[in-house]
Amino acid sequence: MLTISRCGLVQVQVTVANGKIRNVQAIQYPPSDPQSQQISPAAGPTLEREALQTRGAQANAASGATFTSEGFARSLRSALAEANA
Amino acid sequence: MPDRGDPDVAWHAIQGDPSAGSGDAARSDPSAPSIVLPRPAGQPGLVHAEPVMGTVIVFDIRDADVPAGALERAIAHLHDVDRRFSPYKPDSEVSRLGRGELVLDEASPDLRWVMGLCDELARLTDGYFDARAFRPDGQPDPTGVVKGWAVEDAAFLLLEAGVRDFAVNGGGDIVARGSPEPGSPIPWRVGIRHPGERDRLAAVLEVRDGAVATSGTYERGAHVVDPHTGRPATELVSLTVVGSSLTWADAFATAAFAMGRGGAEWLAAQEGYEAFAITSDGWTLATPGLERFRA
Repeated sequence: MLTISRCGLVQVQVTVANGKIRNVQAIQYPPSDPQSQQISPAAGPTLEREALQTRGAQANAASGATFTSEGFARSLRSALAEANA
Repeated sequence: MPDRGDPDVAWHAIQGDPSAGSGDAARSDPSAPSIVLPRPAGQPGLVHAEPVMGTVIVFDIRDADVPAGALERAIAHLHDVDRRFSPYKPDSEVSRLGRGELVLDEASPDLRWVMGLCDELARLTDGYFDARAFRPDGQPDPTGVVKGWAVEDAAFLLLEAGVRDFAVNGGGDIVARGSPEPGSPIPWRVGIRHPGERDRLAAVLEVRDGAVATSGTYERGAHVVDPHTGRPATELVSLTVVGSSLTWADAFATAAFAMGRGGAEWLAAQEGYEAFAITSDGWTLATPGLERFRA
């Protein structure tokens, strides 16, 4: 997780193995190791960890990139299909 | 689905809006049907989805009694702003300004206010918010502030009419007022969408009387341009701002998104506003003050 402390930006890398957090390591930001720049979106550790924490969470509304009316219709249709399944 | 995270409720879409009555002046485009999503049986209030401004704006009103005409006035305002401020409508004020047919001094007070806001944002963001740089043809495009401003004003119209507990979701940018359970201290829970998977959330924020706006690339591609390079901003996939005003939250989200990784740091210095960003390589960034909004 990247967070902003009073010392400036601090990047924390979390290693997960077998579904458990194994290691938490503070890394200087911006990352000096070019490897860390090449992490694919799917491998991004903090996004996935945070997203897992919201699993099962109820929300009244969702904030996100502006969707088009076509995108809204698509998601509405799929939600209806799911509800009727 | 974008407006609710409650998978247990079966929703029904109805074409047309029975609550709006006939001869409704609110809808400028009769070919664009509105969608009313009734609340589950036994729960008061209503959910109304209005296609406007190229997206869908969802009103989720929890009050047991909604004053007559309140929703219609809010919807009419959105269509009015769309007609006058869309850079995609050739006869809009903004398009006429861009073509030089209208000089700013003679424009409506609203347009002068919006362009003034754009100038103030350009100063405040070191040029990262530049209404004159969003489009390749250099035409003024205040879209980055107009939707948030219009949705916030629509919410003010509801408040003025006496509506107390509601959320307005303008295509992913949200104003929340009161509580989802009227009379209770329970806050609105606003999920931040996962950029890669439509049905997942990256985080959940708790908001009473506040606003949440997100700029991101995952719905319409890399459309936010870094005015300093002229190229699309690609370091982030999503940047969310939470604070009191949707107008400012929306504009700050656009500007901070263009800044890339430095955007969240910039927002940490803006009083009253907090940010949550997701980088294109899957990291998350948050301002320290975001914690008090975390569910």
